Amino acid sequence: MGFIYAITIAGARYWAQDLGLRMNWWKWLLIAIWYCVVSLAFAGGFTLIGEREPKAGGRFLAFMGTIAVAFGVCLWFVVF
Amino acid sequence: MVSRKRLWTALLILAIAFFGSNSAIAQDAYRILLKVGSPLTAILGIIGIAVAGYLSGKSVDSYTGWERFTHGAGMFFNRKPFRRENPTYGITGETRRINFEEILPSRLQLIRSLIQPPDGSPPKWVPEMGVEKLPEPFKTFFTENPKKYQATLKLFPQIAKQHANWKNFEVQLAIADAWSNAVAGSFWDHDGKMKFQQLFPPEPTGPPEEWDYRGIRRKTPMKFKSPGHASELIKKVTHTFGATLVGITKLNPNWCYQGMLRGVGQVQYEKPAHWGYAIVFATPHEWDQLYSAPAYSTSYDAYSRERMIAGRLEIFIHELGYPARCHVPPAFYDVVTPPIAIDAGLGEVGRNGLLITPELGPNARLACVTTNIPMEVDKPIDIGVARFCSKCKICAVKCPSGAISPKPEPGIVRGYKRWEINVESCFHTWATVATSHPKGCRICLAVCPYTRKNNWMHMAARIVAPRDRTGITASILQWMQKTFFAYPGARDFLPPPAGRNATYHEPPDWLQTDLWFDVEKTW
Repeated sequence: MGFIYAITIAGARYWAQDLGLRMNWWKWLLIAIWYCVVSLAFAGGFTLIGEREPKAGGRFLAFMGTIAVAFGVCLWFVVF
Repeated sequence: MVSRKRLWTALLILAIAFFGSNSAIAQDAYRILLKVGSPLTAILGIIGIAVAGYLSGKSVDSYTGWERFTHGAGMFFNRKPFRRENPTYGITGETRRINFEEILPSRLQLIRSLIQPPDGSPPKWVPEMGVEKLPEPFKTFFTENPKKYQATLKLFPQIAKQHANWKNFEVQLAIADAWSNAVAGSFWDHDGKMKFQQLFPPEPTGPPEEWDYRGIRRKTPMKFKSPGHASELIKKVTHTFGATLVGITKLNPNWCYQGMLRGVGQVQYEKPAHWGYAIVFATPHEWDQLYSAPAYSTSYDAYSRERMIAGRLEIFIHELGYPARCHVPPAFYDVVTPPIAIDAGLGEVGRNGLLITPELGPNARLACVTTNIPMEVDKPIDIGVARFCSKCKICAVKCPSGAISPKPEPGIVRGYKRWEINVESCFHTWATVATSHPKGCRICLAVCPYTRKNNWMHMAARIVAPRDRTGITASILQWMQKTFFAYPGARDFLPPPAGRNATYHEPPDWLQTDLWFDVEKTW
């Protein structure tokens, strides 16, 4: 997982450069938080599904997913 | 020896590093590779974490108390920041001991023995004879509590009705009933009767001053290096006997039942001098069967485990030269175990009247051993159970009998602050659900938000919520619990026609008769 995240982070820097984004530390921090929210949504949702709580898992995923989308849209305007 | 796969990986990394720093073309390739790889690995990371989450949720190794190691450190909650000088049940007035006749099973047992004497002789009492003809202390108790008299008598026809109704479920619940009877083997024989001479641990046949000293072979007890050493050893040994949680406290005399002493009979007594300390321990029910309460579930598995632990610990203490008496399920107690567990810092009392521990929630069955080994005692804890329960109320809403108080604040019971439980209504549900006989219902255990596995998700909630004194975390968790989780309605837990034999979780495969036996599925 560490290797995967290393590639993600290394590649994100090039994406930002090629897209001409003016990035600074707090923008990167916000992106990292957003990625954590997305990860949490999937981790939590699937943990509950694994616990034989499929409805709770689905609802958690939908709830956190909605937050992640809303957060992502806001982030889009902040970053771009 | 370096494997070929590792060698190629190392070479690839070196090549990327070399070309990445030395060649313009390679630098472009490196850039493109990372740019393409970045979104792919981002997605892969999320898939990986979802799979890890699913496996963590599914793992039976995250069922506290049933994990691979008897005393694996991962299952324990750090109580140190939550230790308090006084227990959270709070003393609000004049306190008193619980009288023997206040305990419903004692009442039922006595009245049954009067209506149907065990020796087969004619009834010594029948309901038509009225309260006046009942022996003391029941005559006084029922005269002062006429509602309890009516409610207690109503239970007998209800038990008969449940017994008659069992034929409708005996195929569907064949494995569940067989499992329940099997795990009750330490206190029941195959015929479903208690044979006191076969019990382990054995029932006292003498007063504490004799019985608790039986089997001591040393002239003088082994002297511990310090009370701290004594506590540590006793806890370690109790864990090896199978206990999930262990606590030690000085025994409050108010936790001794009044009016009955095992080995002596009906008697008013004071706490024996050698019951200075109580070692109290908890084990959970097997989790999957608990979640499929009430029909597929039983209380007897944890009862049996507790009995074995207590019996072994009693012998262990005798071997060291000290007196000991165990107090064990299902009904062999001289002391009330939940408040002892609270004093020993295992948890707090919940709305459902049960001990709620950070690790097991209310899925914690208790037993204890009283002794006079000088030990270092544990302090009570405050993890905010009372505050949580005052808002939660899931157990009260989902209880089919309405036995659990829905009031926002606890009441006063015998001078102690706690929510009231209508035990007669509670037992009425025991005698209504689809089981072969009244063996509990455990719905309030299964639906409690504290009854959760030991995985990252619930562990995070356990760590954060009690530390957040604003209560915001607890409120969010409660909202999620009530919004996301699908609970059956309270009446749905009952058998048809009132309900549909609903369970909180689907029963595990090993309790589903139709998966293993050649039977026609009609349910």
